[in-house]
Amino acid sequence: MNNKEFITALSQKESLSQRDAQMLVNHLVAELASLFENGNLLAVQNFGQFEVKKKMERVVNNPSTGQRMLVPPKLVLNFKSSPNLKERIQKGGEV
Amino acid sequence: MEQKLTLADLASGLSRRASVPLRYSEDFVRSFFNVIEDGLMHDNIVKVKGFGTFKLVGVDARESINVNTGERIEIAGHTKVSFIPDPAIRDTVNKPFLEFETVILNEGTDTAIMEAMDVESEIAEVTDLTDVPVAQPMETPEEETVDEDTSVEEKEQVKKQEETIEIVKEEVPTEVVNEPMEQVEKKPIEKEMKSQSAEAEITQPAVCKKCTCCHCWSHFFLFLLTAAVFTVIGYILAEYWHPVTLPKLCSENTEEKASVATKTLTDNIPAKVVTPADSVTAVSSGKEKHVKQPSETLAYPQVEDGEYWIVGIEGTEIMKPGCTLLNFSIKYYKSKDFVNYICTMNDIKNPDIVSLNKELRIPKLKKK
Repeated sequence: MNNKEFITALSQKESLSQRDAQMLVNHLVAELASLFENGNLLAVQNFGQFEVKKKMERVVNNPSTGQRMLVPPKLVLNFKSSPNLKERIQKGGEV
Repeated sequence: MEQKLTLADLASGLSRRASVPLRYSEDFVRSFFNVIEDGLMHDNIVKVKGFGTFKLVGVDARESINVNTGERIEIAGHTKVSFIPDPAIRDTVNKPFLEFETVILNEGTDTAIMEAMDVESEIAEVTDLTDVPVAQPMETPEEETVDEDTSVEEKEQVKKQEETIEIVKEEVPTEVVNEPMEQVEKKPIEKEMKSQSAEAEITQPAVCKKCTCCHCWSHFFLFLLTAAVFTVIGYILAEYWHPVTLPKLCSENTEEKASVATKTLTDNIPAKVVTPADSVTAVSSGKEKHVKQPSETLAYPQVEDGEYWIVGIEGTEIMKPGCTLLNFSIKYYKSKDFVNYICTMNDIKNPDIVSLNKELRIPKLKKK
């Protein structure tokens, strides 16, 4: 399901025009981005939890050249699905 | 501003942003996630522009051990939801660290430095992450060949620097704060002294004791000066009479230097104290870099900055249609990284254009 199909499905469900749906999604995504930018944690019931996690810097080895590199620290957005969602996917989503 | 937010908070944020009623936006947000879930069920993958991709990933069954009982248990295979953030949101989230880039470490850099640095920064409560990337470029040895003249010059510089530091130190009333740092710094130097000369060993503990005392700064620096001079003399002696022990000393020095470099950033004043040691190590690491080129390599072209010397001819190959340099590299060296060497050996300027039926000499390599 790509973005277009996603917007279509959402607009049908909310009985909106696709343009409005896309506009609202854009606003929502902007809102999400600003939340995560501030390091907040977002928990959505029955869906999962979005969290910003810090990865420490580390040294990696390129096995073929033997070069060692220092990877800088970074903040990464993480998603953890709720047990509920897992269960439902286990039951219905199995393809 | 790190708090746990729920769907309601998100909805209120959206209603403000898009100026829609709160009730409506809440409904919208809920169906946003519902549609994602439905999409996952049907298509296994949902892409939301600007946010990211949700995907169902199969996880194979695997064996594990129950930590409490030590029993072997099997974790059944299952599907999990993976989420890959869109580059846009990924960069927004990572904004504080965005300017950092992966740095290639030089040879001889020890990971122990980083660990040591972590500990130090905890002690000093100066956990500034910028230390690491900035410290790296400073470690690059600039001098490729160093003779004894420069060593002597270094020695003189050391003396001068010591004197200036002495003056600076006396002007600064906050020595008490710097003391723990300095003690830590003395340790690597002390280690070096032990390996080099017994005389220095005698003077060094006295220095360490002195630095806890606030009053005797001038005495302290006198000792430090002597110690530094001994270090340099010891180094020169070791260089001349025990060339075998040199690599060991060098590795110690580079370690020390790196830790010195990191400290330069955490505290300005003690950093000045260690500059003499720093300049000494600059000499030594320059030495270390100067790897002797084996005589048998002179007959062949060499790859600059390569890990290997070209020391002979492994075999010859005729360039036929369908053959690639990559294939030869894999055939002879079990790795595709050696195309460069084949190019150098046969004077190929552009590895993508090799004339047909050209006879290629495959170089025999020896690790530097």
